[in-house]
Amino acid sequence: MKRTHYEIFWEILTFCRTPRSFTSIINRCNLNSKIGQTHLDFLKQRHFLVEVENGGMTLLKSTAQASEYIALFNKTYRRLFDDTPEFRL
Amino acid sequence: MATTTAQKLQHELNSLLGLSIINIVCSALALAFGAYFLMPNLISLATTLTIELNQIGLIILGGLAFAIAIRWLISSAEMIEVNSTLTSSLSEHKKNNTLNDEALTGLIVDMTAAYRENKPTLKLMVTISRIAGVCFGIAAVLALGGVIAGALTNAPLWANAAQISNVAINLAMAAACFIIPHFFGKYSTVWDQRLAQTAKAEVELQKALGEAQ
Repeated sequence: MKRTHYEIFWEILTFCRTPRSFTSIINRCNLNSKIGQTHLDFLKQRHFLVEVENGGMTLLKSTAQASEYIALFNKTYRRLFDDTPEFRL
Repeated sequence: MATTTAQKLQHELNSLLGLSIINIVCSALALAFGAYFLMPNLISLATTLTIELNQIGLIILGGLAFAIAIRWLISSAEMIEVNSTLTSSLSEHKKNNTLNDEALTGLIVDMTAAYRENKPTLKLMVTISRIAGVCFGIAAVLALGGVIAGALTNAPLWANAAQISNVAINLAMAAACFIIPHFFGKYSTVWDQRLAQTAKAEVELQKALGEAQ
């Protein structure tokens, strides 16, 4: 599906509330590994995601800063849906 | 608030499903009418090996309607597929009692992405529907010609009953084919408005992300 990168970031960050592996993120968010890596690098660079070690595996977890983005995104998208007229036959 | 949004989502999905079903019915009828005009004339042409001008016209019209109807049917099926994915996702959340704010946002994101992706298909369906409307209109005029010819030969009205019902069905189909784009237009207006707001929201989201990517 055609998503903007803001929508993809939101999906990654909500999914990573519990630490997740790279593979599970790209599978869940329906991304190819190259694009997935670019997005994850960007989010890590901005401190929205941090790496955590778990049993020898490197997982990614969203930060408190990410929660602000998630909250803003939820509010914005809910508003855009709630404030527009409903489509009815 | 969450309930209202969920109800709105459900209503919109139901309306879209209804619209897709109307499209399936109309495209199936267009397919049938295409075959009705195409096949007998094609068979007669192949068996008698004689060409009449009106036969060529009907073969072209039937073939056109047949091909367009197949494309229309496929597009309608694609719309139903998208709709059923979203509906089952919403139903699953309702069943599992997981329809919280985040799940609703996820569904809105999915619906927005589905609209973005299917916008060209919707436009195609609007065009196809209008073309089919014109084809049904032409078929109605041709059938009406048959009715008038029958009336001029003083044939009893009941003898023309099949032709009269043919005119009525074709006219009804032509009307339906011109009404469908109106509903798609309504659907597109609502979603284009939402997409325009998404574009505005992106400025805020960009700020929250720190800087432009």
